[in-house]
This record gives sequence, structure tokens and C-alpha cells, in this order.
Amino acid sequence: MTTPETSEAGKVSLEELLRLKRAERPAPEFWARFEQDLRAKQLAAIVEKRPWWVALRLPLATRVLSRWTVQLPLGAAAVLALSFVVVREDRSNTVVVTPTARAEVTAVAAATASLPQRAREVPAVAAQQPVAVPLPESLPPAVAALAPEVALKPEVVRAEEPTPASAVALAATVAPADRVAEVGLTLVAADGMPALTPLPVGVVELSPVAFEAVASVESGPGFITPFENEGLSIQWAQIKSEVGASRASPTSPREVRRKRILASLVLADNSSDAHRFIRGDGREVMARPFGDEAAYDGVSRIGMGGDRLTLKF
Amino acid sequence: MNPAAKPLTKTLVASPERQIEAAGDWTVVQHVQAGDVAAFDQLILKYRERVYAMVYHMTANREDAADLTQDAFIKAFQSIHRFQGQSAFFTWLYRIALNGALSHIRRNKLRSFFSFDKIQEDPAVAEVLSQLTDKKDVPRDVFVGELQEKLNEAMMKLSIPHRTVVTLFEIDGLSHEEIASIMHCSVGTVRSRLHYAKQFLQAELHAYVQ
Repeated sequence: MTTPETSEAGKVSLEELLRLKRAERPAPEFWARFEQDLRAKQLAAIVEKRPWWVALRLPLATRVLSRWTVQLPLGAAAVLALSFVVVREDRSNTVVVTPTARAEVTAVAAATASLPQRAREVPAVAAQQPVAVPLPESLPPAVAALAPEVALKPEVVRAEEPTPASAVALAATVAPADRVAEVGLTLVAADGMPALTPLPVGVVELSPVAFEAVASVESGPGFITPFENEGLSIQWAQIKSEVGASRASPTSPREVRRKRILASLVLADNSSDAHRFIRGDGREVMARPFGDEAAYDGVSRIGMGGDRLTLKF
Repeated sequence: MNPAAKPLTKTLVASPERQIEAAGDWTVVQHVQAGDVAAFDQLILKYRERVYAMVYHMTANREDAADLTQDAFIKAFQSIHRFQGQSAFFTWLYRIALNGALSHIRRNKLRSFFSFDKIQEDPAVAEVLSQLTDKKDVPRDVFVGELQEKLNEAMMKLSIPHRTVVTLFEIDGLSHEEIASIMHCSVGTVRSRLHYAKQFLQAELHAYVQ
């Protein structure tokens, strides 16, 4: 009789078969090698390996840092240069109208408007040399009182054009129309230094206020010099281009009237938009303060629509 | 009935001796945690064969089993400061080794090479082998080799959970509770899987099993 676990026909139970499997064991020499390998792995594990992302990060970081050592000063220099340019550009576009400067602008506008025709029509050939232009005998008291530090020299009128040295009488020749626009006006200080930014004659056309004094007439590319001593800076080139544009489209009487009204308003106001008035951007002068800190100023109460001027109270 | 079979199995099943053993392991682990690195060698020497056997029967490849066993010990050594003694060190080490083996099997699902250790013929094994080869004309070595191959093929046909249960219970001699603890499943699940696995193996090895 056979036991339940073993059969007489050469068969065994499953447990006995699995016991055979349990008997599958490595030889003793296997454990010697096992021990050796385990020691080596233990040593490798004790010497902690860097994670793979550290291995990636380190060369990258050194590469970036090595680049930064070169690029950082360059970048800083570029930023500094850019900010300098931006600030400079902003300064040149910004007009800070001090009371003195406003007075000067008023004086120049008035003076230019009533400039004798012969003084405004500077001939192209005579523009290079300073040319004496007869001035009115007396300056209006308003103009004289506006800029106390500017001592006007009524007898000095200079017109400079890139022409031959020979001076030609101002009144003798009528300058071409395109040259007239480039003629600038300036007031000359007592020490001979220019005290006012040269203003193109075309600007004067925007504000035909009565003129009684002319200090100096200058023209040419050398008149880009702004009013640095007065804090007022107006770029000559900008003015020149705008004057050219205004000349290209002659103003109608309606426009002249509108700008005259604007002139009185802007000059009476304390805002710093006199230069925009000079440029003839009446609408812009009215629109810009609404968004600025002067939105609550008196100018913000003024609106323009077509020919109408509205005042809000 | 084979009298040698039962005691061999019973010695590996959880018992009071196993609990005493676990307490001794905990003491050694505390030494290791205190900085006595050499004390870990005691644990390696004590459990390397069992761990290796478990991994070997799971993978049926002796080289892979050796590597995985070494990795298991190294992982245990690196993580021993996290072992709080809430389970037996043996169970904890088994879990590490089993997880490594399962990961290896999943990674190499399509690549399976058998590499067997020799069957060490102790008296119990010799008796079984003699019963199997008594009435056969084939030489004993050839028959044993063929049997070993068939056995491992049948084991590899089992799913991983079933193979794990059979390996841990029938070959390594762990109790159902220990297997449940290692496999993070219930004891009922262990029993169910064991029953199914045995049925499957019986069908696969019908030429040798009565």
C-alpha cells in the first residue's frame, strides 16, 4: 500500500516536488563570491553617489556662471547705456516751463509775430554771417519785465545761414520760402550767450501776437542747443520738421483763431505744455492733461470740439 | 507518508522560535543603528541563504538572484535607520528583497533565462528522487535535470502573486500571516492564491505528480 503523498508508479506529491525545488541551493564557493561582491557594493553605496540631476546641474551651472562672468558686466553696461539714452531722450522731450522760460516763450512768440518782414525773410546767401537788423526802438514793457535775467540787446540781430562770408543786407533780398522756415529767433543774453531756444519763424505764424521786440535772429543747424540754463529744452530738429509740416498745409483763418485761443489759454495756465502749444498741437495739449496729474487742474475743464471751446465749471 | 517532509516545512513556519529570533534581530539592528556597522554582517550571514532562495525561486536565474539579494541587503543597510522594529527584521528584509525581485521580473518580462543551481541531495530529497526514478530507464542525472526544468517552467507560468505565495509558503516555509504581511494582503487572499497555484502546478506537472 502506498502513502497518500507518494505513488507506487513513480509519482510523488506536489509538496515533494516543491521540496526538490527547495533543495536547489548554490555551492559553498558561490557564497564566497557573493560575499566579495556584496562588500564591493556596500563600499560603493557608502561612497554616496551624486544624483543624476546634480551631475546635470553642475556643468550647466558652471557653464552659466562662466558665461555670466562675461555677460553680466556687458549686460549691466547695456542696461546703463539704455537707461541713459532713455532718460536723455525723455529729458529732451520734456519741457519744464519755469515762469522765466514761459515769459521767454511769450516774448519770443510775440517778437517773432511782429518781426519785420525783412528780418524774417533772411536771404539764403546772407545767413552764414551775423547780420544786423534794425530793431524797433522800444521793447514792450511786458517783454522786458518777463525775463529779468535776460537783458535784451535790441540792436543785435543775427542771421546765420550756411552761405558765403559776404553779408548781404537783409532787406535787400527776399529769401525763398523754404529757407524762411529754417530761420530761428533767439534772445541773446547780456553776456552774449544765447538765452532762449531758437524758434523757427514758422512757429510764430501760429501765434500772431503783437510783437515789439526782437532780440536775435538765428538760423541753421547750429541751433539745436536747448535752453539748458532755464530748464527748457526744445529740439531744433523737431521744431523744424513740424514747422515744415505746418508749412506744407497752410493754416486756415479758423485754425489760426483756434490756436490763438489756445495760446492764451495755455500760457495763462500753469501746466507745462507750452512747448506743445508752440508746436501747434492744440488738441494734444488739451487731451494730454486729462490723463496726467493735471487732470484736476483748470485745463482739464477746457475742452475743444471743432471750433468750439468749452469750459466746465 | 514521508516523515522527513513535514519537519522540514514546519521549521520554517512562524513559531515562538521565530519570535525569539526576531527579538535577537532587533537587538542587532539597534547596534547597527547606533553605528556598529559590522553588526550588520551578522544579519547578512544569517539571512542571505533564505533571501537568495526566495529570489532565486522567483526569478529562476541564479545570477539575477545573487545580484538582487545583494541589492536587497544594501538597501536594507541604507534604510536601517528607518526600521523601527514594528515588524520582524526578517519580514522587513524579505519585503525589500521581494519588491526588488518583482521589479526585476516586471522589467524583464520578455527576457527570461533559466539558470539553475544544483539540487543538493539531502536524505529527504534523495528519497523523493529515488521514488521518481525507480521504474524509469533514464539515468538519474538526466531525469533530475529534466524534472528541474519542468518544475521551474511550471513555476514561471504562474502569475507573479501566485508564484510569490507558492515560493514563500512551500519553499521558504513562511506562515500565511507572514506572507500576508510581506505581500500586503489578507491571509484569506494568501490561502486562495496558494490553493489556485497548487491546482495549476498539479495540472502542469501531472506526469510526475500522482
